[in-house]
Amino acid sequence: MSLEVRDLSFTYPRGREPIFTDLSVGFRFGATTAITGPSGGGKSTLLYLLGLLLRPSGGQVLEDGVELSGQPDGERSAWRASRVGFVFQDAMLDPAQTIVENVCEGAFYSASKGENWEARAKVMLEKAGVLARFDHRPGEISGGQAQRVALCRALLKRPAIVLADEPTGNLDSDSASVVWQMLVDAANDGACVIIATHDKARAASCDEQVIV
Amino acid sequence: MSGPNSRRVIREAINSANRRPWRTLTVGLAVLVMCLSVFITTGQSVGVERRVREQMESESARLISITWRVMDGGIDPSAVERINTLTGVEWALGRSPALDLTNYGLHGGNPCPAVAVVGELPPQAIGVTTGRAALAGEAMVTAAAANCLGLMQPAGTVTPASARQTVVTEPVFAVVGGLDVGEALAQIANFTFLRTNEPVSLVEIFIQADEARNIPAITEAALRLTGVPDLIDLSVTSSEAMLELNAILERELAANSRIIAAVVLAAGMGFTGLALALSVGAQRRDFGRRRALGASRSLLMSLVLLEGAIPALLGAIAGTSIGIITLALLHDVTPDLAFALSVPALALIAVLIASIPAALTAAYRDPVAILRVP
Repeated sequence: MSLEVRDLSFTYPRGREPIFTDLSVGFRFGATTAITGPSGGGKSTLLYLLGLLLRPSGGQVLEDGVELSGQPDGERSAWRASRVGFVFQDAMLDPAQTIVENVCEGAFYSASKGENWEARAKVMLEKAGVLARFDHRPGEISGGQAQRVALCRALLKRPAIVLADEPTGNLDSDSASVVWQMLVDAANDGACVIIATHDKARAASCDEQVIV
Repeated sequence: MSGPNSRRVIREAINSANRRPWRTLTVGLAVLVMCLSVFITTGQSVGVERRVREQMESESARLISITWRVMDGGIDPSAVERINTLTGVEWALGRSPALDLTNYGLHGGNPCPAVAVVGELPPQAIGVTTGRAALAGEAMVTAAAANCLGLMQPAGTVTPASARQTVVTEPVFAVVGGLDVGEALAQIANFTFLRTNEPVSLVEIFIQADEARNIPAITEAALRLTGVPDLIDLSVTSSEAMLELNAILERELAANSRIIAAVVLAAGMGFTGLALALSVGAQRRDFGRRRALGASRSLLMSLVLLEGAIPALLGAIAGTSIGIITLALLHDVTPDLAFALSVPALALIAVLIASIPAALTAAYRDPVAILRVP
């Protein structure tokens, strides 16, 4: 299995300077890859391109040699729903849903069914140390707990690709350690885990690094 | 690869609608008010229309009167039989010019009005209260006529008051029965009805049409069947003008109902569209998150449309039920099935159309702009 970008270029519609030109990188499954670089260098943009939330200005995003970024919205959304787990800079939980409902949302958009997602969500929450709050609303938990819940949501359906945008940026050290360990565990289970981070120490602990 | 199946999407839309009770309640109530308003305003028109139609279908409104307007002569009595054979004619009855009668037994009593009649007495308009129907040379009296003639019972003999009258040739008529004349023939309700041995010229033929809308056709045919060569000698009185007025009234009421219904639907559409647009505007993070987690544009559109349609459906059912009950209680009107189904259907379509801008906004919002933390 392989995930790669080939000759990737990207310029924001109102941007004058390109964020990347002719970027070609391969990402391994079963490994963690850190994307590092200065602020504004395009770390988050590369994640959004890999997650097919943005269309490249040039070049391709490929999985196992299949070009993904040029496909229509329905196909790209379905691929993201079934193959990708996204962790955002902000936890982005739905304040109207309970914690366990927020985690289960990770499986809603894919066609997969049959598994008891609520049971698996509770297992994930226990691993993340927030099971006691499963029936609370996001407004009733801390920022660190919210980010752990967001990670549970991303990992719920055992995605092949995990894209994490500064997942530990705003967390205390305990929460950051839990989140990081869960990402490492996902990679150990075979996922391609790509993490955009400023944290040099954590980046250094990853299997690979990409500097943008 | 595909997204969640339709059952999961509907369930998610219901959950989402439950999580936003104010929006759900607003849309549901707006549709309820839309349906109820259309039922009440249109129902009032239907009620008025029905009352006018009932009035039009009353016996007196369906009566046609053809009158001989020249001093001498009259309509041939055989015309009554011919007119009776017309399709749409319930009955026809001819009458002679009026003459004065007195009670033969009193030798010079009060002169009282009488007419010779031609044609079967219509039981719908003239009831025989006592005795029997008169044969040739016999008479029947109404209560008023009997009173005028000084008859204690509808029995005895009556005679023309003046030998100079030329309407009838018989010197005396035996009174054989009593009559009750209905509202349709009120103008001859106080008369004594005579049956003559000799044919009499008629000055008026009463024709009862089976339905108000048949009046123009029956009038035209009956005029031809009178056998009168110059129709200028005849005049016609009927509710044809009223019929035209009714048609105008029905058109006006229908047009007004349509305008009111369109205004109510448009107002409801605008209101629900605004409510949904505001709600979607407030949910920009929600839709950005959904897109990033794998929701396609079409799925987001379906969710927004369903989140509008679900409370709209409940509001339409409630509004239609309350509307039908209100109509029955206030106006004694039961709307027909097509109308009862079309009102909620139109309200639902209006809400779906009103939801489209909000759905497009949700679907085409850039998720990256929302996900980025400054």
